Amino acid sequence: MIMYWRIGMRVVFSMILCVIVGAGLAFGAETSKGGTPGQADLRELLNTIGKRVSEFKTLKTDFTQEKKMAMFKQKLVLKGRIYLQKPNKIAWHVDSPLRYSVLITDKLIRQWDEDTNQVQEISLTKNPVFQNVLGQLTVWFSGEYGSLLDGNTVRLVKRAPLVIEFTPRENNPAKKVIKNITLTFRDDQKYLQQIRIQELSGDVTTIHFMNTLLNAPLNSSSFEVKGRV
Amino acid sequence: MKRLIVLFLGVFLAVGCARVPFQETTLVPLESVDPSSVVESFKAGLPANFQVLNSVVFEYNWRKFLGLGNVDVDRQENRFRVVCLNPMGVKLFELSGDRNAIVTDYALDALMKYGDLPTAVGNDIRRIYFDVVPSASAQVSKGKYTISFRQPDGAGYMEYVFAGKDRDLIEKSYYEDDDLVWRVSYYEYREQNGKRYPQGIVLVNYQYGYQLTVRQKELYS
Repeated sequence: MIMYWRIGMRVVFSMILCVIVGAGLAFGAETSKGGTPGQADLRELLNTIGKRVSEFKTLKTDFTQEKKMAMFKQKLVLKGRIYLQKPNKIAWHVDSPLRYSVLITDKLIRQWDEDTNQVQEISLTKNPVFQNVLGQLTVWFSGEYGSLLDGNTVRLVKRAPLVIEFTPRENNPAKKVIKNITLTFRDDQKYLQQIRIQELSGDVTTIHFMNTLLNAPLNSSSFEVKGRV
Repeated sequence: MKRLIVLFLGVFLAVGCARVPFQETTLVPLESVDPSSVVESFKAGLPANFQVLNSVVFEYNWRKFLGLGNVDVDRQENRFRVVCLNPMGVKLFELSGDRNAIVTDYALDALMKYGDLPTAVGNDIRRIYFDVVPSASAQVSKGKYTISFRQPDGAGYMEYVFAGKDRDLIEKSYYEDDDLVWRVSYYEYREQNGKRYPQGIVLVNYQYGYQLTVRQKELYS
């Protein structure tokens, strides 16, 4: 069916929009200057954390993504690696349960998987919408958390390790999908240890970051989607 | 007429040339095998309920697109649930169904712009996982290496082909007016949890000219 293919390219965009920028949506939206007591302190805390986290040029991390879906007994587990090079280059490699890679830059999205064994490429140069998506993606992974209070109610869950919960406010579009997002930081607070996204549907996605290296040297093979190790 | 020929060639080339990435079942002589015992043996090895994670390649007109399908099948109740994700774990759609209906529980807006994709997927899941045993009244024909069963189905008829030393179902085909409408081929059966599961499945829809290649990645139950 034609629709099977036509959705293919859409899906590449949707994946960004839904998971990462989905989170971005929750964090993006409108600014509420009022805030409850403690929100000013939280803003300062987030700014401080954001500055600490954003002090890197490159990032290399392994990840385990667990998806518990309300309709299913067993959870889905994806394992892989993420490479990020500021200002706007990110590679997302899935190693298990199948091999898949996507490279996102300010100019293109390129993806490959072992089953089709095809490299697909989409130009972003004439697509300002997805240039913007890349911008948000980079900001999210780069730790520029200054605007996290915007559109969300923020709660400090724990100080050691630092755990912060974001609940979309009524006027936040993410409210329709996301119940809350919880960030857990490493002990040194230089990067994320875990992101947990709880959806209204009952689905819960948890991404654990392991073996995270900041400013590690990255070579070109880190950003290759085909023939990678 | 010219358009019809072009359409036929297009479908033939798109579907006919697609490579099957699985091992064909090794054929053994079945001339002396009782057809009813083949069906009974296959039924005994058929899992009633299971949850499986598959990779699914949608192939159309030489273009390919990969998804991850988490499928929960209950053959006793004729029910299924499926969630399709992209390889980054983003949910594309989620649906449930039974013999009579398919309900879309969730779908990305972007997908619904192109028609009722979940229903199409739900129908293909039914074709792959349900009604895989011929009825007792099916017409039997024996070849040297295969045993086939044919029975009326809807506006046409269904044909089941069993083969191999374990006499597994290797093909299920649906015809209308003697034209092949779609075919499901099952490959590389393996015993898991005491039941037999094909590790590879290929569905070819000749009517619309697309192919689904399904690989089992994980069996949960």
